[in-house]
Amino acid sequence: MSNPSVITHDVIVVGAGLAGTWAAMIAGEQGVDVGVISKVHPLRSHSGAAQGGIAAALGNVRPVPNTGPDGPLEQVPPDAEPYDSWELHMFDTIKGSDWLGDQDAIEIMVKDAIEIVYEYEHMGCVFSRTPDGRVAQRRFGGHSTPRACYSADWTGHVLLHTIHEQALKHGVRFYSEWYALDVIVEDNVCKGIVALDILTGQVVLMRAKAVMFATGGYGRAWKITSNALANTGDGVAIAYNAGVPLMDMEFVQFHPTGVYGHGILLSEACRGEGGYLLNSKGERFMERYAPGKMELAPRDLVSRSEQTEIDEGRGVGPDKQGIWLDLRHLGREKILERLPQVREIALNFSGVDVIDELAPIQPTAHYSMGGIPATVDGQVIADAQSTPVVGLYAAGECACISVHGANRLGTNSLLDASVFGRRAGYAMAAFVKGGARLQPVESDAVARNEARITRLMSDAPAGKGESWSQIAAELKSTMTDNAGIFRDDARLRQALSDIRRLQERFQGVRIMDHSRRFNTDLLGALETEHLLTFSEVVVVSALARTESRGAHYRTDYAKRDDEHWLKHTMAHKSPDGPVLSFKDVNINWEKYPPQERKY
Amino acid sequence: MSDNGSPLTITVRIQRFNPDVDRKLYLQDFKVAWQQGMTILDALHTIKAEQDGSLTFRRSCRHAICGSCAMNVNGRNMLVCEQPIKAHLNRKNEITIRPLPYLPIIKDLVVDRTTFWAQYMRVKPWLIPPENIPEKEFRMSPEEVAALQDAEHCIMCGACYSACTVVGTTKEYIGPHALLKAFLRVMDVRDSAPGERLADIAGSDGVYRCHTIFNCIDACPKHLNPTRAIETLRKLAQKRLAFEAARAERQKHLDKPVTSG
Amino acid sequence: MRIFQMQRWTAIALLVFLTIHMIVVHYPPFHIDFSRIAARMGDPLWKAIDIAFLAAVLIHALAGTHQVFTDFQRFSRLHRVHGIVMVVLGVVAFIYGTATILAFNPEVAAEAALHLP
Repeated sequence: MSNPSVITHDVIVVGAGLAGTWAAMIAGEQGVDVGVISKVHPLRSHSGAAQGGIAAALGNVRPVPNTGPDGPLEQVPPDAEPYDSWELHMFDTIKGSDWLGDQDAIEIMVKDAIEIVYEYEHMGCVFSRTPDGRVAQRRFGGHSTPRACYSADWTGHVLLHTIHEQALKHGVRFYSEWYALDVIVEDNVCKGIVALDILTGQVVLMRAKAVMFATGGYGRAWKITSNALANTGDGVAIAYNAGVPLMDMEFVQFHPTGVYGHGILLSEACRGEGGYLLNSKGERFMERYAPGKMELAPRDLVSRSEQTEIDEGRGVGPDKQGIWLDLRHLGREKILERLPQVREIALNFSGVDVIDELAPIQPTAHYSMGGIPATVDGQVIADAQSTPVVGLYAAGECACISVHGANRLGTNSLLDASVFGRRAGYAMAAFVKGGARLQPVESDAVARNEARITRLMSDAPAGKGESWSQIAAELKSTMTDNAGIFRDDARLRQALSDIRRLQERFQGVRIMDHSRRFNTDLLGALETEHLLTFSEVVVVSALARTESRGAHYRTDYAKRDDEHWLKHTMAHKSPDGPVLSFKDVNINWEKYPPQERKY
Repeated sequence: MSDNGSPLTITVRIQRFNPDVDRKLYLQDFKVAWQQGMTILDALHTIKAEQDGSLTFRRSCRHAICGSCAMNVNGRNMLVCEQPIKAHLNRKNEITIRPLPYLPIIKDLVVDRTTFWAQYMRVKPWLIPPENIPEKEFRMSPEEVAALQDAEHCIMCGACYSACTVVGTTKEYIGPHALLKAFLRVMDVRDSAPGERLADIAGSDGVYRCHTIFNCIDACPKHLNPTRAIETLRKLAQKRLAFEAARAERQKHLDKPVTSG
Repeated sequence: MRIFQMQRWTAIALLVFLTIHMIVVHYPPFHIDFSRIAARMGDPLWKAIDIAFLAAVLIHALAGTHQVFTDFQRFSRLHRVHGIVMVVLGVVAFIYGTATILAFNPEVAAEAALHLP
């Protein structure tokens, strides 16, 4: 059962969702020796929970001519004019990002999108189809054309299984249920990671020429979230602790349709297929906020509109914190065909059948736009001048490349993870084949992390130790109340002082489970430490950004301020807390200059 | 609060076992105050946070898509995250939770799925595409896609596998989960090796080992039907060559529009 | 696959044989007496039917036993031995049963019946 105390691979990928598995699969295909560690079995990764689709300007579907942009959809006849283009996709993404997305990266993403969807299809992904056998597409929030390729409302699941199978085919070695504790970065060179084999409880040094982080988002710092229990932002916290900056951490997307009280996601496809949002008076209130796009406005805007309705007393449910999602007019057949999972979730968690009942929903913390700053090849950078951290790569939700800027459009996340995961795979393979070497590790990282675990397992100095779950609960509470959809200076300061107090209290945390074998109590404590680490960065970054842009909305600075804030925030670790620097946004001033963002 | 307004206390009986410490399995009772909307997973979390941090179980997504939390509740396999606890209480407000049966226990409710994944690998779960890849997508009719959708929705939670009595007696059996995956690939018009696949699963550890007991259907949290898939594979294995020929013929037209309706 | 097919084919055959057997032996629609039974048992066609019935029962039962036995991984080393035992058992039982069926002679039986107490 025991492992060697040092494990070596050419490439080590941390995280086995779409981004990590794509990178591993590509590197494996290129003949590089790859190991992937994942805290859950790879097929349990949260990429699989994505429901609605993956965006690509295939142009397979268009509204029936003369029915307007919202008309019923049909397949595009073979000889017809193309209805979609990567340029349109690019503009929608830039507008969705509130001009904070780097336009060079966005261009790469939307161009690669077409290829990557076909590649998925060739690998066996089961997409829904048009009558003539092409990949079917549907509408999604913020996209001006029907662009979301989908597999009913199981898209993420289907993509994840497909890519995992391919990685197995290419002989990628998976370390399932291994937890990354630390990444070793010395003098801007990454040398490996320290990981915990959850089964045996052994701390192992893993050396590699290249390390990639694909650890997903950090939505678990909020009370109501669509994120899996595993999405505790370990990767961003570990990288930050190792001296890597974090970029744009203040931008956290709240999804408009989480199951009331649970936060579990009901796909945006509900609205893409034509669902309505109603307040307690039965009004389609989106008329007031986005008369053009109505329910299909981007997520940040819809969530804020919902929260405004709730705050003004027009919410529904026992504590008036909810909104109705109305799918009844779609009809049984369409719901069963296109939204089977949505129906199942609403049945299980709200006890309502969306075919003939209203479903109570509320905004839910959903996607982390910020993360580890990386180039379009996944190369992690150390500062605003883009100095590379040699041998360290990142892609997917944990990375900030930044294609989503201040707000991500639906269906662009599966795309981002796939496109940049794949690019990072090629980049790492080239890096390894280009003569990269294993670096000698002189750090005491293993001993340091052993000590971390020993402390948590030791007896409390006096009386009973603090419980990590209590601390995590208090953190989530303050993040929700003070760093949620609406923010202001006073609330953010409150959050910051709460977090610092909780960080101090964490020093007193002790766990109840003292066995080494499969110790999930230990994991919970380590994850809580990571939550506290990055939450501080989120709040400090949000406090500094005195404007409202995309998902970051300050009631005390309600306008976007391009003059001062058209730039990325970068937070660097220091003994006194995060220190900020700023990085320019890549903008094509001729083609896509900033405009007012209206829907 | 229970329906009549008085607080409801639930007894959660959990099978415990840490092989490093315990010599025998034992059942331990925990008392939990019921709350509106509480799932079985919520109860486990409450116990872990407030009473015994060493209680060990797997979980992640909370909405029946990741497949981590399959367990045996009152004798039936299910995903505990999507089950309201109240629906599973007996008259004394008790519920009994055990790990998935027939599998080695790692700790408490966590089982070792090694054989489960080994059998998954054995059926080569990946697509074996034809030689000529079109520039765009392979053309598949909506009907051809619909035939796959059931199998594609399998989340690999292991509920069927560990409900199968044949798996209980032999781990050499491929198992319902992997046979369902094999079914997915065999039925996919894009797969160019259905003949080999059918030959591989027609041995004594494959489709003919199934006793048609239907436990897999009963256990599946996604309402899939592995037994029907196995039965279909048996039939196809009998006419393997004809099926292979039909597939080769179909694959000549994978780049052309389909007519559907 | 072959064992499985044998199981299925013999199962269908048994359905037919059992139906005939139940009607003819247990619930005959006509009056039954010794001479009728003796005549039937002496009829070469009925002898052939009984031998086929015997073969179907043996194959189905022994193959089934073997299938269940091989379900158990812990006996996996013995699978081959068990298979051989089943075949030998089947052959012996078939020879013994066939010999018994063929040996029936209605005249000898009638003679013997006269001496019954």
